[in-house]
Amino acid sequence: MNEWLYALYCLTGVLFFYLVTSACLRGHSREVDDQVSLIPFADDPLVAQRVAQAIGKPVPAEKPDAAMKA
Amino acid sequence: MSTHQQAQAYNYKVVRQFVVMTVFWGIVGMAMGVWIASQLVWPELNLELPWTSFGRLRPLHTSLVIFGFAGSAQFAASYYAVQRTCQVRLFSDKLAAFTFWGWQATIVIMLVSLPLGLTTTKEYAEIEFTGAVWMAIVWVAYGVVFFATLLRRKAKHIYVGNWFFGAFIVVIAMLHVVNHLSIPVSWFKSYPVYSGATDAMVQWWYGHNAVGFFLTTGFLGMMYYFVPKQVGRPVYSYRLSIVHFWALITLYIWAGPHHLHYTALPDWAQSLGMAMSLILLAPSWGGMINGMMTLSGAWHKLRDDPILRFLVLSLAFYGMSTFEGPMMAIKTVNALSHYTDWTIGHVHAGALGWVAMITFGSLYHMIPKVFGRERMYSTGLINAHFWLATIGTVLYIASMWVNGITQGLMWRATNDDGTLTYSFVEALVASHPGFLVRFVGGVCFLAGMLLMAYNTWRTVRVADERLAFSNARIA
Repeated sequence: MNEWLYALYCLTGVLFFYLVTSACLRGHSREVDDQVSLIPFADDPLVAQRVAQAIGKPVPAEKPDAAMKA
Repeated sequence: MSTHQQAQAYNYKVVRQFVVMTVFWGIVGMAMGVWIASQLVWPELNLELPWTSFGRLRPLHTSLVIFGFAGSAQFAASYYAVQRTCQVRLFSDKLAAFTFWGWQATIVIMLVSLPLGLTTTKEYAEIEFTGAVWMAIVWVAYGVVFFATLLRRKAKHIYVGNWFFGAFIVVIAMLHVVNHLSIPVSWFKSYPVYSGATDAMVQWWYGHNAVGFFLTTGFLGMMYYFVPKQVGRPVYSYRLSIVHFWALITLYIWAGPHHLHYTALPDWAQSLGMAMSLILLAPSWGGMINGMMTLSGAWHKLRDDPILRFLVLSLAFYGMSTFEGPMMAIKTVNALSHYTDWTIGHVHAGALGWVAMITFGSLYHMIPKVFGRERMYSTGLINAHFWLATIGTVLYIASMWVNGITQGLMWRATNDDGTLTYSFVEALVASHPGFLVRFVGGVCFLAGMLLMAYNTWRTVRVADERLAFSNARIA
């Protein structure tokens, strides 16, 4: 393979990684990241309560019964 | 359960089925591994039958543990996590059930065809044409169930664990189809459309990414869901998890050529594979650190939570094997390690230490929830399993390191006149103690798996349907 083509090939990979990662991180403020990282606890109010106590921040979670009636 | 109730609940039936089959195929596949390990210690255990010879049982062992055990575990974990993070029931119960029965049929095809000698001869892709086509159909159905569930999610964002599961599904489909492109001459015999070095390159592009995507990416999805859940803390850095995801996806796919150092493959491709493998260390360790640091402020939980111990130790082994891999990809190191038992030890540091241990941790977390129990039948048995698995893994990899370096050094030793110092058989004799230690390690690991099966059976036997339904209700 031509050396220049080889270099271009590698550069494209780096560029792809940079563009796609920055596109994903755009619009992700610290607050958004904090909220998204709590998704695994969102359907488990008991666990959410314990997590909220541990991290000192509210963890939004819905009680299953409330959703069942809704 | 009424139709209305069902519409409001998670589909745990398919998760339960995959969980049980993970344990079942784990026992069968690992028992097969112990058998072939014993054949290397006592060759008479080949039984002088073609169907039970090492050459036929070895691909059966790898297929059963990769596709039967690890595959079923990933189906179970992804179906469980995607429902709970999206807070919706799985898309189409019927299609989800099809993926379960279809996947089990695939494993049975392997179980029957491989001992008969029906094989493509491509490592980790031995299943012949008809089986491979069936596997692709089941995989597409899996993709439909997973992505359709994601599309119906209640939350705006897609949780990072689902990104990993999604990438695992898409990339495995691509790898499987491209590597299996072949011309069939009968139901179970085909010839690849590629030849020579191209065939080898395509095979190892597949082979390395089978490790990268089937045995890493899906399990990282597991890590990002089950570690925070078990610790009771959100993931250490969500931003790092996004960078981790894209870096891993960008880099892994290029690393395959390191399996073909010093072969007919063009030198630039070998160097590219080596360079990409070295760079791969960064995202791998980024992910490992992100998982470990999730325990910040909760390390004390390791004292009395053996499930968490499984999850954390799996991350330690992930870190260890993803350091070892790039080192072995360096051409000069590879000149010593390639074709020796060091490679087998490296694979098992990942397979036993990372894949199996994170599976055990995730399964112990999931089983009580999907079967309606407060906890597993015995925490003591989980603890005993943990120690058996740890001792087994350490014995396995340490013996293979010693064997690998011994073999590499003996094979390359030359006399002053340029002739070889040792014959191949002399290196084989020197490896015998290592084979024995590896067998003992395998027995320990299998014994742990049997404890898990007993613990699971005792937990499942008294399953509480009412509590299971309550757990399955959608928030």
